[in-house]
Amino acid sequence: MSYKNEMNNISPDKELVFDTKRKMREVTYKPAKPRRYIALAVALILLISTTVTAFASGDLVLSQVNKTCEFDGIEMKITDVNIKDNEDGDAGEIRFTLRDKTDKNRINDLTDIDSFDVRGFKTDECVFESYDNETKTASYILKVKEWPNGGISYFNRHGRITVNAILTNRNSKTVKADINLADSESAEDETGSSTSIFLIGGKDNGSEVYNFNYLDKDVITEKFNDAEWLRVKNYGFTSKDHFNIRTNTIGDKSKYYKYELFLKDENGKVIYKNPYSERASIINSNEVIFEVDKKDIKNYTLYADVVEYKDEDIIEGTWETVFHK
Amino acid sequence: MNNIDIDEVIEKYSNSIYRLAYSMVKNKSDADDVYQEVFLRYIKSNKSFNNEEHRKAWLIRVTINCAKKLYSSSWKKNAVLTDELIEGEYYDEHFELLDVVNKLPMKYKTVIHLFYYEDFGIEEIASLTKQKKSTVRTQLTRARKLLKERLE
Repeated sequence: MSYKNEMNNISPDKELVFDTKRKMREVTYKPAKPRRYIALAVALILLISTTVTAFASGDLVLSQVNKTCEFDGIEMKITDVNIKDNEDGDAGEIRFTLRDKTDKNRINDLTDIDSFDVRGFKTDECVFESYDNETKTASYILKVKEWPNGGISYFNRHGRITVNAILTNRNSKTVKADINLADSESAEDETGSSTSIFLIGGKDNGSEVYNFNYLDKDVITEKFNDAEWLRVKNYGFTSKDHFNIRTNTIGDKSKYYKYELFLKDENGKVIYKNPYSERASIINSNEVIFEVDKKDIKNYTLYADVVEYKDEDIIEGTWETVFHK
Repeated sequence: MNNIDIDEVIEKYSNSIYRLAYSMVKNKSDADDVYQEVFLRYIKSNKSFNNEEHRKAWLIRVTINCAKKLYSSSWKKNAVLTDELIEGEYYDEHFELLDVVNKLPMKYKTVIHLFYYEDFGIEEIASLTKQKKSTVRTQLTRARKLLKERLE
């Protein structure tokens, strides 16, 4: 039997289809609240007064600014788009701001972007830039580059920023693990069976899901300084160049925790960083593999960027703005 | 967007979206979640599409994103993937090939599904998965090799 034939036997349950349709209709027929009309009017006025800045330089491919949108009383505005045609493809920066138009003061100098997407471009980080207390506006920078397969042309030379979640009351810090990685011994004989884990680092500093052996035993309990909820339970080489760190978190169940492990060399330079930062509640345990040669491990120290927050610190919504030439 | 649009889009893409979701997340419960999330995002986005091809590409892209997101967070919560999780509810002797495909790494399953089930070409898959064409080609080759080894 072919893959296609086998797949053709799989279908969503009728109940699921029915329930999905019902939920879709609920979205469609939700009665608009009066404030939405006000928001729409404000958005229209702002749109009409939009300033389009077009630069004469032929290198500048996307430049439209001052586009705004609003959701739940929070306004997002693109203030600067500077994307140029470079040798490696189009790349540059996009700046945008967030402002709480209500009196809830949800946007301040501790506000981060928790979930975002820049359609048409590849981007890895959205960095908080500044906060203007006078206008109550927070600014952010997005570094973007063209997808290797030509994302811009695919999307008709339009770009689109979508923010899906805003994290208020940022409580992030960088913490150091109080363990000496030079003590790492071969743990090849102690590994559990093969499973899917994240491979971090590697030749292209990318991250993929692979099948690898892992350390499946809790041997130690080493806390990170100033982040006691994050613990190292085991570490060692599961092969010549696969360094495995087993962690777990024991924290307050009312909170969310995010962390990214990374290694710094003796000069303080970040060598390997975990690019994954998914929001999750209590994480039981985690196996992280760094592709490091056994002889080099003595040069590295283990750190983590950690964030903790509560449900009420997240504002979910859809803030979406298009920019183009 | 009205009732007819909702019925039409569900009728046209229901199976496609569900099968792609299932091929990526490997179990019915998660596939259900991804399926519903995709169509809710569709209705909330209120997007206008140039043509059906454009609509389908958008839905597939959103499905891939939702499945990846779910997979990542689910993995983080369950560091050790047990056999029960790997084997989906659809597994039995009649789904031998599907089961083997399901056990491939996610990136391989995605390209295998888009290539063999949706009949997309390398270029289209590259665009949908935001990867280089050469990467997609390599992933397909490696996936086929893995499948061959595991089916022997």
